[in-house]
Amino acid sequence: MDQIHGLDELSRRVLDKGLCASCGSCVGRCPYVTEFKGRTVVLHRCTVEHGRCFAYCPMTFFDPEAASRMVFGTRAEASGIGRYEDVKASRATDETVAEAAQGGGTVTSLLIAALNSGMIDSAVLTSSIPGEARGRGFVGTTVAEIASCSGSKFAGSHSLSVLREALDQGRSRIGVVALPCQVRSLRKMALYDLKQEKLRERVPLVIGLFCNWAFSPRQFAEFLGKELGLGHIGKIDIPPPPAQVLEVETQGRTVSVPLDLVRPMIQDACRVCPDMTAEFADVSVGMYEGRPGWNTLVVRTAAGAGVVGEALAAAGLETDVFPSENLEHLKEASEQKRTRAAQ
Amino acid sequence: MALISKDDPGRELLLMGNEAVARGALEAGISVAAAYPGNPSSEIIGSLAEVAEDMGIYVEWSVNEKVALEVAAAAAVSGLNALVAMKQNGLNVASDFLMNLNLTGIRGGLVLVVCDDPSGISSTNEQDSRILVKSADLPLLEPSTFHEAKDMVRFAFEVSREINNVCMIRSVTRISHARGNVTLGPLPSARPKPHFDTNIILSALPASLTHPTAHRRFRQAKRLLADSTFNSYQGPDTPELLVITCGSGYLFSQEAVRLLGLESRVGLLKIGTTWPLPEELILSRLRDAGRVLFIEEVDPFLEDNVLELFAEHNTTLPKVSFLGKKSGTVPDLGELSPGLIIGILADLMKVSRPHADEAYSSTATDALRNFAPARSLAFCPGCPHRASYWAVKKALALDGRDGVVFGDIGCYALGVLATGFHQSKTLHAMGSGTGMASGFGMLGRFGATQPAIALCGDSTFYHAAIPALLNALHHQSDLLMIILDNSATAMTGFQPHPGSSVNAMGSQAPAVVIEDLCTSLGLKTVIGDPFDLDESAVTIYELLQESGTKVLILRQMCALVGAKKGPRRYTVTVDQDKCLGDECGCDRFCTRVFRCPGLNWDVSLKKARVDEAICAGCGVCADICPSHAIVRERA
Amino acid sequence: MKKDPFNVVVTGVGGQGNVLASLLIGAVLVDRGYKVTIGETYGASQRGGSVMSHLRISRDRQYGPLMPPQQADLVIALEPSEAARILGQFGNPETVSVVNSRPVYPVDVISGDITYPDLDELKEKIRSLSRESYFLPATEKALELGNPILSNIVLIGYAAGAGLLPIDVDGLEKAIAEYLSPEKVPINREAFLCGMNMVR
Repeated sequence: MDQIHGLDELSRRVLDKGLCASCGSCVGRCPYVTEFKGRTVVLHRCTVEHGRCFAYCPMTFFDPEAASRMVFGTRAEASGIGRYEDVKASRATDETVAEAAQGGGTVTSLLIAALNSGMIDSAVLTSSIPGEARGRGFVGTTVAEIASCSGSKFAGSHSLSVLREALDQGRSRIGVVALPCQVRSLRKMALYDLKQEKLRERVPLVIGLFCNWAFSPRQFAEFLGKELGLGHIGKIDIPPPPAQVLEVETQGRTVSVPLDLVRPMIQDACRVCPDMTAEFADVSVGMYEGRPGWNTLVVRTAAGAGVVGEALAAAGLETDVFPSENLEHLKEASEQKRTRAAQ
Repeated sequence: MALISKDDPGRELLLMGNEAVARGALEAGISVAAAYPGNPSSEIIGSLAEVAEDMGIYVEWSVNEKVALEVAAAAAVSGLNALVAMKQNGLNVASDFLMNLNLTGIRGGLVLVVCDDPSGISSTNEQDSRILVKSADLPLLEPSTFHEAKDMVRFAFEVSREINNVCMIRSVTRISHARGNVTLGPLPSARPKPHFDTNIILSALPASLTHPTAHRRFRQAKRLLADSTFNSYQGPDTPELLVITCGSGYLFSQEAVRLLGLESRVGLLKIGTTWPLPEELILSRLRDAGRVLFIEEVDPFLEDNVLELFAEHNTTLPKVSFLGKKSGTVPDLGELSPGLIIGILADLMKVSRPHADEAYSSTATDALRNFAPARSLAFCPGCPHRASYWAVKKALALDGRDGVVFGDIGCYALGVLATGFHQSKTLHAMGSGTGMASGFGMLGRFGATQPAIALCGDSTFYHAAIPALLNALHHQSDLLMIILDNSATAMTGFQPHPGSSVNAMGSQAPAVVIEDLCTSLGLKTVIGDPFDLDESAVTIYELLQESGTKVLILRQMCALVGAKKGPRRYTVTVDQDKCLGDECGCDRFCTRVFRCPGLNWDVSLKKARVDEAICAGCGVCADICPSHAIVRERA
Repeated sequence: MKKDPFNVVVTGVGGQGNVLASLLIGAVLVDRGYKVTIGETYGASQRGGSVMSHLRISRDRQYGPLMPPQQADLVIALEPSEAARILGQFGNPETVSVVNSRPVYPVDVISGDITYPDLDELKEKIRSLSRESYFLPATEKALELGNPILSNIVLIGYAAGAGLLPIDVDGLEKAIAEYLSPEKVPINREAFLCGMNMVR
């Protein structure tokens, strides 16, 4: 417990330094810290010495060896895209799923398979807030609910805050779709489980998302609203290079914003994050650059392989070979983020 | 029949000092009484209001002290007897008018009773009001007992009518808020008809004419007070020590002398007419005293004036050594107590003070140290202010710009303490929070980014915050004024104010509605319920994002008024299965942070529970428990 | 009254009806020809603070509103730790204490900043500072009567029944009718008698 402190120390080391990743792991049922319009806010001093807020925050500390031992049963693989069993190209076969998806619809297909097979009884997801650039956490328990949450969000969403909701509902098999920082938080929950809530068993499936960075939700919203004067925000996308723009759907039109203009809104937490491919997830999913309509699928654990197997068996997912030069390219990009974070 | 209006001359009653003052005013045949409530003065007008209808007098809770004095003065310039009462802070508000009224004088009787609060037990300061009478050229009386308080009011009216000017009475907490025997006198049967003599112009200007008149009236007062029976001497003809005392100091000194067995060695000169002084009486006593000790509360007023008198007559007087606040013998601040005076007298007279046996004393010390836990002041159980302050705190945290709350005078002044989460950052005078916020809201031009909140209660709003709000509006100051409207002047005993639909005498009155007033000024005005914590916090947050002057009324009835009006709204309990106690991780939020006295932390179970004898049933705590363990059910 | 002045302290916490209790004792005694002075410290009333009333009862003169240290003859405490606070300042080996056993926890105790003394030890401390001491479940009795505020009258009833104060039910009824209002007589009479009956 030496390295675990309380809210005061979380403020000092993370929040006051602007290093919050907006993952949402510290908010939920706590009366002292809350999320408001995309910002993590401390309301009052808490005197608990070993707080879950500090313990589960991905930015306070992270022990890759301990996480690796728990997740993979091996030593940590600190290079490339981390430890994996297999890398594939994948996409959803269901047309509605594929259509709603920003990439290949793989995440939605995996979740539906996991739910239908009984591997999970609920899923912690990120849903869109109508009209706003940021998302929010959502506990889905039906196929329809899961499908409604597809699509990329480019700003931090505090979505892990609703994990508490799922736990309070007594859910015992919760699947979580998580950014790399949130995957780290989930693994810390399982490792330290300060209140003996059986968090490891109760979160049997973590689907990680590739992520290079996310916008600070409040800054990004203010930028779109006050600087660009954009009202109701719809879908947001970054088309593949060399476009170098952010496309924002708003009130029936699409506005292209140069990436250079929005880069200052990237969370500082993302600048120091070494993890692009959610290296501690059971399965990681990302874009497949150069093959529209397809995803990159990294299978890392037995649980990950299991859910992919279920999806294939249910014919919700199809896979294809992921060429080795693409894999090298992915590893390079991942390595670059690791290097940038270390600087 | 109410107590103070009993027509039963000779009957002895147990009256509070303030009730004795009120009775004195009735015996003096007042027609009009006015005040703004303020402890320790509130019961004077409060008790007169109760009997107003029976006694055929007019009593009002005025909007502030200056208006109260003006209302009373109008009656007095029309030939009636009028009483006005206020606390020491209130005199500051009224003094602008007083310092001009004293120049024109009056034609009936006008007695101004000021109740000082040594040690500031229910005040922000402990200022000594007496100093003002010197610059105002007005006579001053100070009662020492309850019966005397009554008789002094009657006498003050005689003096006032005689000199055609205001006569002031200074009381203190230990007279006003204490009780003692008062023997009733007769009540008058008839009152004069008011008439303003339009042949006379009551103009303070020009001072070159009116100031000499004030001086003349003062000299007249001096002659009237010189032989007053409110001044007395008891003790040996040539005492070793002459104690000169007034007000509450008299009974304390008298007891100290008796308790120490010093009756044959120490003389006690009690002064009831402290300004202008009964000079002959004092000079005659100074001739026979080698040592003088002054016992009075707060400032060395009596002490200074006697020293001045001594200096004027020093060629004809023997050498006298003076002890008091100036010599450091008596503390120059705070309340007096018998223990303090016993100690001073025992030291000066070299006698031993009464002492308990040693074993008992050490047990007593242990009891005080280890068995009498401190009791910080806190908002009452069910008080809406606790909820309002939490909403303010939360809103400021959500806003994140380190906003500043400018506080004001009322129960909610406790917002500087933990019970209000230390949210109020300033506390001065009535309405000054809004005035300061108005100024702070102008500092954006210099780069200030902190939002300003002015926080004030409903009664304070009417009293002094309206001009400050107009100032803010006119100068486009960026501030949010939050009016904590609990529908009462709660701090002082629930007196009505201009927002009430009933007046001091219990008659229907048109209410000046805060939101109507604000809206008519073009101010953005929002009304919220402080018991809805989250909604209130978000409303405050959103208003803080807007520029200009905005008003939020957080309205919820004072819990004490609510308790009088009906049963609790909720029965609140803690579900012992759901409360996770120390295991929760909430760090005892309900008790450690929210601190409502109705909640307890059961030390043995390590869980929260409700004290059913204390809980007021507001139900707010049900919304703050993260485990939803606090359950409220409609009572 | 064996002693003159006879000094009584009524103590408790803001909102417990301390002021009313002392007023009623005083009113009964003034009606019986005594000179009574009551000094009240109640700037903090209703707001969680300690509240005390000093009653100075004499046959021949008006005493000051505060008593000198160590001069209490009778302490009526609506709350046990307040009894300790008063005895510590005004108690002497001859003091008699009548104490409501039920604690009202200070907000600082509720918040966990300080602790409330162990109740048994507290009672022992009160005993050791009193010639005689009586501990009563006054709040519980008052709750049975329908309102916890009545614990003040229950305690006065007990003190009267034990011969510590020269007050009877008729005197009290007259005082309530005259100083408060006639409709408050029945419930307070019941509370007074309830206290008196606890003596046996």
